[in-house]
Amino acid sequence: MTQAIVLILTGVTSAAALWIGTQGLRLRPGDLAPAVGKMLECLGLMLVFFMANAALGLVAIIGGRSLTGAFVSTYAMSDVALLGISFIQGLLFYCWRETKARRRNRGLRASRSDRRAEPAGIQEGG
Amino acid sequence: MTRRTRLLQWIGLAGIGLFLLAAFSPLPNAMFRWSAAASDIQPADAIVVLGAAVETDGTLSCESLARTVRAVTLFRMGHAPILVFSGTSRDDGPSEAHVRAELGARLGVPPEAIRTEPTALTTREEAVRIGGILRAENVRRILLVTDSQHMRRARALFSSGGFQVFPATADARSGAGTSPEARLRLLRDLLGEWLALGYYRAAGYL
Repeated sequence: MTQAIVLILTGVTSAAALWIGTQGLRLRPGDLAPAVGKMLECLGLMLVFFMANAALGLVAIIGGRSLTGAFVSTYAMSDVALLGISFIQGLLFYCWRETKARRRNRGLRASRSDRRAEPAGIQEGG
Repeated sequence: MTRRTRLLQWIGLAGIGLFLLAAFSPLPNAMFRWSAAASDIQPADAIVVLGAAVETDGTLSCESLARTVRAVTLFRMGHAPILVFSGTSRDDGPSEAHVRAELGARLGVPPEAIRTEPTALTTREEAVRIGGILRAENVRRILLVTDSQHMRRARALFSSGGFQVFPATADARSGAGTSPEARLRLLRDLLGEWLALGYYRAAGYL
């Protein structure tokens, strides 16, 4: 029953988002495929952070036990908070990379428009 | 599209696939059934209850409570004359072993039949320290109480300590989880135990 509720609920909100996107925000359905690609990339980054955190944590716990004798349970690595924080790290890193890409694209556009404006400037000068 | 971007996309896709499979398919339940140890209740010299967790205010975790109730039931059915409770404390709180011993006494177990081991931090330490207590009392056959996933690792450790081990499983989590959350938790616990089993094998403990 819970499973059906979760699936129906998310199905309804997804359909509503699709309708709002295409009708209200004038988003193109053709842009959905590249958006899925970006979503997968962002999710991949989140999972990389999670795997790195878990691996580093296990090595630190086991290494710390043998080197210092201090005990920390490895079950700490299965805490759901680690997954949540890893996802925030991944999302932030992804947005950071996107900001750089956007700035570079803006720079390229600006230099292209400068080049287009140049011949006119020469004519004016001559 | 760079190779790095494509790799991240594949990782993301695998993550979604694994999530959907774990949350919305019976795969975790099947994995649970496949790797669960079965109980084999036999008359023994002692019942050994392995530690799970206790909060600083003395509240036992569901796993700890399930194991304690199972052990007390076995004791009251007359399967063994000694009951050993294990479990350390968290921060400055009471030890799990002592909280369980109090609960056992309230449920009708005579205090003279109860032993406690409140210092062992890992399953391996439990096998070593409880093994010492039991050998001093000439115990050879034990009923080992822990959850059905942990049993394989725990049983191997106690067997290598020279005991004849009869598993008595006590699960706080059902292997027939019907909600997505229950199945995700089940998978997380399974992966954790498999990782621990791999570590114990790699370290030469098993």
